[in-house]
Amino acid sequence: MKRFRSRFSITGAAVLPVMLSFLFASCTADDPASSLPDDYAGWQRTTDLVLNNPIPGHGTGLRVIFINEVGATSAQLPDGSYRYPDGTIVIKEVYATPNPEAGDAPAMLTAMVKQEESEDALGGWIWITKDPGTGTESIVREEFCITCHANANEGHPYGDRNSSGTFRDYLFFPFPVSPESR
Amino acid sequence: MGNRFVPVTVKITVFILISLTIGIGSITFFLTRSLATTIDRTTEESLQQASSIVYKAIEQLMMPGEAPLVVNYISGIAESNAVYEIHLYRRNGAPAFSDNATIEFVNSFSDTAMFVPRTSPAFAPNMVTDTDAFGRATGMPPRNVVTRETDGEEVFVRFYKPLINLPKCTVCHASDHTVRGVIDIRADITASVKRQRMVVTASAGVFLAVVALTSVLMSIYLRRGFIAPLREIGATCNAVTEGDFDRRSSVSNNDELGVLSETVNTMVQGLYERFVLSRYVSSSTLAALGDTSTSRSEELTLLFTDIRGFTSFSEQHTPQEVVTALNHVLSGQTEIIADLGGDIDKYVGDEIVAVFSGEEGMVNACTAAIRVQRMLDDREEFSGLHVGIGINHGPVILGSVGSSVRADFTAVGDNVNIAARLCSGAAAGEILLTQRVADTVRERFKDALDGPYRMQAKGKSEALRVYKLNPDAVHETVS
Repeated sequence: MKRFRSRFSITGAAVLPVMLSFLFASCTADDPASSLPDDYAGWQRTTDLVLNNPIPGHGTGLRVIFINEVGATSAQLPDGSYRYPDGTIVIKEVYATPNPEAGDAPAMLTAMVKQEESEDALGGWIWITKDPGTGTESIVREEFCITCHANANEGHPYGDRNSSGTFRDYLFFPFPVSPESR
Repeated sequence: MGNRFVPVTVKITVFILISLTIGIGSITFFLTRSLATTIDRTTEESLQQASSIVYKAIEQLMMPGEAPLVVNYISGIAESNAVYEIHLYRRNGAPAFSDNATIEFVNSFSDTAMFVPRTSPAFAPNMVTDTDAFGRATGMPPRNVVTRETDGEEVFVRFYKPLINLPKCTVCHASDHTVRGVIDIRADITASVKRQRMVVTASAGVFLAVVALTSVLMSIYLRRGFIAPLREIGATCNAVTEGDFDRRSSVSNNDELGVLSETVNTMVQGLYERFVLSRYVSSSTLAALGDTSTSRSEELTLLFTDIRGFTSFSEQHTPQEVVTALNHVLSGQTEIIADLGGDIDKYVGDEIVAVFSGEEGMVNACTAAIRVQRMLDDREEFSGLHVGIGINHGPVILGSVGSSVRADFTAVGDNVNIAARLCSGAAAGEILLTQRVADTVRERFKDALDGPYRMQAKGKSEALRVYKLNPDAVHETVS
């Protein structure tokens, strides 16, 4: 009979309070609470497509994607690739159903905040989820988000499909719209 | 219990043991713990890197639909590396490539793909065993999960890495799920764990050896450096207490103990000299050594004894016999006087001057006089020797009398002279008391007192009223 044992079993009772206090201080310092602006609805939308087809990671609900002013300008390089500057914020509304009623609130917000030097950044982005009901924001430190979005930098089945494999800085629907896809 | 003698060596050794155990033990524990943690983390990082390589290989091979290459790849790793065991599971926990379910789905979902079903399963249809860790790996968000397993003496680290259903994968596998499957890499870390245990055991052994050796060395050092000198000094003090003034401490350390030893030796020498001096100097003189500037008036009882018939005794015996007899008489008297609390003020030839203080001074002086007379009467060796004794009481002046070269701390004054006169006037075997003394001791010696008599003393215009204290009339034991 195999016996399971968690890898983080006992780390020492004496060290625990110090670790907890450090963790608390760390969380407090990096707490992304309220870091996502509430007025994003006035931002540019990265695509006019109705994104209500089911996709891995975001379920079957409608998605609406917004990008702030920082990211909406000068992100595309002459070679057609994209490099979004620090301060860029992309917010994706995820609704509970593919065809929500007018006035329905999104069930979840997922966001990408460009901050190259941040310790929480993966691929230069901080990956965040927010519960609009409670306002709770969480940084996703697992590689799940970036693993999937890395597919945006190569051929994929969404939008213009990026058949040339241009670097899109992890956005499946980059803004401004690529000349290639026009 | 609280008064139980506990040697300093034991106390210090226990203190050192506790200090070493806490100090070195803590360091050893944390270093060992840190080493074990580092090894664990290194193993996990190694597994994570391996899983990333496998992940990338599977991703690249599956994109063109080369599932058989994935099967060969996983099988090849399993055959070539006994340390790692790799499995690929579907998201429901069933082993991938164990049947044609995926091929049939892809063929039905995609318009273009047409994969040929395999005739035999590539892997045995063994379901994933650790469903809890597997569930965490395939949950939302999907995450890497590390677990540790033991199987008898063997220890394994298992790493679950979820395979994400990437957008490019959805072309063949649909978009209705997030996790395609899970890469399961299990590493046998039994050898590593054994090394860890050896490190822990060796560290504990070295720790115990260091503590034991240090304790022994410290104990020896303490015994030789501190305890033995202290015992030597203590033995010297004990010897002095028992009257051995020849014993000296042999400790010659160049430290505080050496200084203490020298101080004790100096003290013993001083005690010895004082002891010797006490045979020649009166107690009052010795007592006055510390305060030579003080002269005072004090009420004392003065007892003078003087041997009668000493001249004829001298003529009939050799000088050696005379000195011996004289010393015996003086010694006998001295012992009696000392027993009754008297202090020999001085010897003047065959004469003794003693003083008694306190409320019982006069009674004690009279008792001493009676005992002296009886001693001389009773003992054969004193045959032919008698003393006359005079006792007076009154204020006298005590002070250091003499010169800067030689001085006695002695009693002087009229009452001293009166006692001397009574002694001079006392015949052999007689004890003469002044009125004051007789009045005080009358109740005690009423049957033994005769008088008063009138005595014309030299230097006195008026005759003294004196009493005789008859030793033979005191029938009870004089205590």
